[in-house]
Amino acid sequence: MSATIVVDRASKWFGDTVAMGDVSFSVGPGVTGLLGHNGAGKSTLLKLLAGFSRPDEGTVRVLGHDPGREIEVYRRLGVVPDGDGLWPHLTARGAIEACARMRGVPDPADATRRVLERVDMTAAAERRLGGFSKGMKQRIKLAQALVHDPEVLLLDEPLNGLDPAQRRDVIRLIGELGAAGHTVLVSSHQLGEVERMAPQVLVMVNGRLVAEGTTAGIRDLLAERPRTVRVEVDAPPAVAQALIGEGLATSVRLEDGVLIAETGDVREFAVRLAVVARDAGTTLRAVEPVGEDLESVYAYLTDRARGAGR
Amino acid sequence: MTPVAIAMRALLGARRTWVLGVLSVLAGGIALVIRFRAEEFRWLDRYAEVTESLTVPTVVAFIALVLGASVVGDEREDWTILYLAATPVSRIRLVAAWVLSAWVMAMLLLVPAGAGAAFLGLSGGMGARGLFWLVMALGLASLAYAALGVLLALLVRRAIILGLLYIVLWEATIATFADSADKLSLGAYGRRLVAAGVPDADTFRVPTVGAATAVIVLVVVAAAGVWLGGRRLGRMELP
Repeated sequence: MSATIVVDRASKWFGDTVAMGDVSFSVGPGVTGLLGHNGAGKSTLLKLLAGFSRPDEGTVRVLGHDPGREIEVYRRLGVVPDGDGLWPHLTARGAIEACARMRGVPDPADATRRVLERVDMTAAAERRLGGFSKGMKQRIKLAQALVHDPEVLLLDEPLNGLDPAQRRDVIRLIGELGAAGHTVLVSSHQLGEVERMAPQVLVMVNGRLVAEGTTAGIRDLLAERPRTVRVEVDAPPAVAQALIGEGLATSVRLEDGVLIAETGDVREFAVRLAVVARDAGTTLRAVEPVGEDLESVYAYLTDRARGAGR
Repeated sequence: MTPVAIAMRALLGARRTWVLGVLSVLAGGIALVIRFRAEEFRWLDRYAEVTESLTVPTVVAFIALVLGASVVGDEREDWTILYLAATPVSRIRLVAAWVLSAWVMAMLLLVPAGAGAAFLGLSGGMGARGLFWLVMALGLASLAYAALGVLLALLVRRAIILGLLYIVLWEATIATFADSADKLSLGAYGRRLVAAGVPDADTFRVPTVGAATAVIVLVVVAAAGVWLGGRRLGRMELP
């Protein structure tokens, strides 16, 4: 697989704030997810790749070109930026056709017609963009990025504002693009969303790349991290003793009659907890993980990256 | 649709454009009132006064500079500049398109102000030559101001406010009254072109340069604005 996007030790800062630090990776054709919480540096990275901004250190290359200096790359690069901005006074067809024309598409009208069909916006083609909902704008933003059939697509949170049916359609479309050999780098702050779109994922935390690999691998990595589980049972002491005795928990404590267990293998814990409870002659009332928010997941990945390297 | 057409549509749809049109209508109306109230032998003097104190340094400057700043400012505010940036169109061509669209719109808006001034001047006997130089003055001064407005908007966030301060404090005030400052005023070169069309130009306060020099200065300023704007656009951080 030849790399179409190469980032080498790229850093970007604004004043004293490091927006992105020492990021290196390369990706090739197919869909790659860019996962991170808000402010993690995803948009900064995508702006560097789109040529809207330049790294303070390091280099970024798209199809071998520096997008900040070599504007010819835009014939082969499509960008869906963050934000809702679209020319409010133009119709959907007019705006997309303008983009096609400016990117040198031989038959802009026909390319516009086809891409409007592809994002299911033909019915609204003659309406002005100023009156569009966020979901409609997202699809038009996607259409303008696709109209010149680029080899590389940079999509910044393309599912924002879409309803579930539209999300499904756009996820399917992104999958088709990846399968057709396009390089698609798509950002999101939701792991579940990225899993549905991308077999490969890059994880950013606080401006740094803390993990990269297959989406399944990242999921496994997250599954392996120490977890805290809140267990409501009728007889907490008996279950606590059994969990320690079976080696399923590294520590347990009682908080207001509820068992809080720390485990190093959450899968095994989940599989055997019911059996342990049954053998202890008690009934499970509720089991729920504690600290499953993205911040704690990212914090784990950050600590892991600091401790052992990626 | 090209960048020029996109910018023209944006300007046509902006309320600000039509407010600027009212300014031009007012300036034209003032010229007509003067025409009908002044004594006949003073018409050419009044033409000089109107063009050198109102039409060129204020109305032309105001309209062209604000349009130039608006056309870029709106693209930046709406983030639509990203879609223009994500094209292989050269940055100088994009800036030239903005200047061209602001200039075309300025010329359309300046019709009432220009017609009022022209009526006053023609009534005073300036003839076709005077009309030609008046149109040249409006055209080239508005081109230079439009380029300045575009460049300002690429350099700073509050370009319109800065541009208005420049017009009010410099073009319409200091440069109009201080002889030593007129060589650093775009409006002064515009006024010089107006004066080139009047047989007895003693009534005009203009820089001591020839009309050809004034033409060159205004064209060079516009070209420099486009070139510098293109360089700035190629290097600036986009939202």
